[in-house]
Amino acid sequence: MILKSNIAENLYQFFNYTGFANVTFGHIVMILIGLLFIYLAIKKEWEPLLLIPIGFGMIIGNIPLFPGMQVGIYEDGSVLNILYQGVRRGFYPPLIFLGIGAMTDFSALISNPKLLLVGAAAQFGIFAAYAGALALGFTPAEAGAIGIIGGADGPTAIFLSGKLAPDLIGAISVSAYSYMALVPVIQPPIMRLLTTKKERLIRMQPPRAVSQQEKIVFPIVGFLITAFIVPSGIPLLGMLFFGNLLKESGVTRRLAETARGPLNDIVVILIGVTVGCSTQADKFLQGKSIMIFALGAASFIVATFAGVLFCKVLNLFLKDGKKLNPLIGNAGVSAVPDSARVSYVQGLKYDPTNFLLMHAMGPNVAGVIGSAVAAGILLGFLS
Amino acid sequence: MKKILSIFTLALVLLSAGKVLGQSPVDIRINEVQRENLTGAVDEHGNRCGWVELFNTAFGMVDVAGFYITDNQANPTKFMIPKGNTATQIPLRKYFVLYADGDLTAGPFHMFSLNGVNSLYLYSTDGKTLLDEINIPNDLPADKSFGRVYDGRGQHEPLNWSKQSYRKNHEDGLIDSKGGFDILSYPTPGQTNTTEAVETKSEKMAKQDRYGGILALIAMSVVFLCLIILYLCFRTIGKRSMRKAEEEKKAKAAPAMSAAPPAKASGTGSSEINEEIIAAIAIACHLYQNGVDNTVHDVESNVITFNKDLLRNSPWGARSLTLKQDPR
Repeated sequence: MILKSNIAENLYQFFNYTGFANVTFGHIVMILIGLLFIYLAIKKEWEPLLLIPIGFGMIIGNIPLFPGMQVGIYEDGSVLNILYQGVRRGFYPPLIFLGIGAMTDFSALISNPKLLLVGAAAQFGIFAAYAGALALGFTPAEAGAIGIIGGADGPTAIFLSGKLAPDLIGAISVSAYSYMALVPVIQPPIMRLLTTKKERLIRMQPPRAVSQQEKIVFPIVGFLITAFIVPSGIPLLGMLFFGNLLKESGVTRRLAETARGPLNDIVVILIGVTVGCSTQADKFLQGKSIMIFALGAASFIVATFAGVLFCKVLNLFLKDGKKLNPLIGNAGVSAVPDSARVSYVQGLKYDPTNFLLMHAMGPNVAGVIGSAVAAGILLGFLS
Repeated sequence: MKKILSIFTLALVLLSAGKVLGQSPVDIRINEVQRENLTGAVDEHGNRCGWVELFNTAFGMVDVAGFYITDNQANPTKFMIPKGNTATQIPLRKYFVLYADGDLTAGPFHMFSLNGVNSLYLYSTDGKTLLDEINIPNDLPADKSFGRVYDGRGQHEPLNWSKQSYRKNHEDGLIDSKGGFDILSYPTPGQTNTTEAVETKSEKMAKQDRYGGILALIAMSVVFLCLIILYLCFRTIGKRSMRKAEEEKKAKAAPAMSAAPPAKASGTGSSEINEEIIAAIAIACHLYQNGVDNTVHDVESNVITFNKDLLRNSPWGARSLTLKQDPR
């Protein structure tokens, strides 16, 4: 009899530990969102390298748990919690920047440095979202973290939100990556709205050949200038330019390959899964998250507006033959290389012989530098 | 080699010109002292006595084991903070308290009494490098402490502070006519000397820039400034690089021009290969590669098939090539 009651008690306890006993409506919603991410990644091929880890991470993070089992991502010392420290303390994003630097060719930018200014203009989305977030009642630190979504740079968004608003990290990073995946949907209507047919047909001067020496000098000078002006951006800028120097120096091929290959892949996996896990229903499903998603969309739209309009303004001062095709303006919002690809595809639509990809890569990589600088400024002012 | 030597010398000169100090013992300050303690904090035995508080101004841990405290510069090694105790490791921006009861046997962190002491000096582990000093007023009332109004800041500011940051602290009111030291409202051993609530940067911004316009303006200006400077740099570098490439091209072309026989093919007398010659070479290459079988196509069928290999002993079947090699 005692044995039977013991077994029943154990079974009852076991049931209490299962996900079925602890499931809530929020868990189901988050698991469905995770499944949607995986579907979009596989079926639509929208940023699969990010959406699959994040989507599956969402499922992992939203399996209902009995608290205190040292399993959940927010339980100190659990495996997921240890992996999450890379996000929380911000050491994954600089490692990703190292990889980005090692895989990015800045030639387009070096050959036509005025494209740097387009990358700067597109950062306006960050500060529009910052002002919007303040208006919605977020604190300046939270608003800064939300604003950086407009930089369209996942690692930067994670880095900054980890420092300024750790509680919002899940919503901010998921929002940033979602909109990055949606760049081909969000940007083209704005680009069409702001440009005339004549402008879309502008042919840009082909980029000149860039010497090896220039490519080596770029990361060194680039880092010195940006880091001296915004020292708080050193973790991101330092790693970005260091990675690029590994690539361009020509004598550290193995290191560059590791940085852009295996190391980058490992960090992308860890960052994706842990960010996904951090979206536990009780932390993620809040009114604030909806506002963050709305502000994120607004910041992307404003950034695209600013980039395209800046190209048009710049054209007023440029001679014929040196004018920019405003279709590359959208590429200023980082999201490498998706937004540059959008420029390219849109350009081909109106003139199948006008290849804008290389031109768009200029503002695209300038956007990466610009958003890292902006993140440094926000960090300096608000942390 | 000369260039490298001159760069190396310049670097050495620059390094020796300024103080190059990292996060190290120089970051430790005497932060607060209490000479006479009648009603305040107690030591580990429950006794009240004077105390000395050290503060780590660095953003990394500093171990103060082996440091010396003295009231007489002629005897800098009067009291050594004992070694072999993890409590001497002061975490970033934290405090360490020594009890000044004059009973050195009461515990590892009990030092000489502060009665009649007007100056305290902190020396590094070598007993020679003076890190900090504090001059305690003669008339310091009992139960009152004397120290830096803002932790770590004051006349004997951290050695790695620049003159500009010292001046800025002065302007911000963090260092006053008393050099940033004062008799403090409340003794706070092991805690911050700032007793009023401190606003975070974010809170300050919420008051000063409610709509975010100022930050947006400043930040966008800085982003533009950074990228404009980069633009100017690379425009200059690009122009120089193009000029250099042009000069090199000309330099290469000059001897070739003088050595080359007059060109006959173009009929113009120019040695440059014109487009017609390039087209002729390309067609010749194309015909040569295509040959009779026309095996190279402009448009490929994209159909991949397996051709049966008539050779029996192809490399695919060779054991010596497919098996793992003995690592020895």
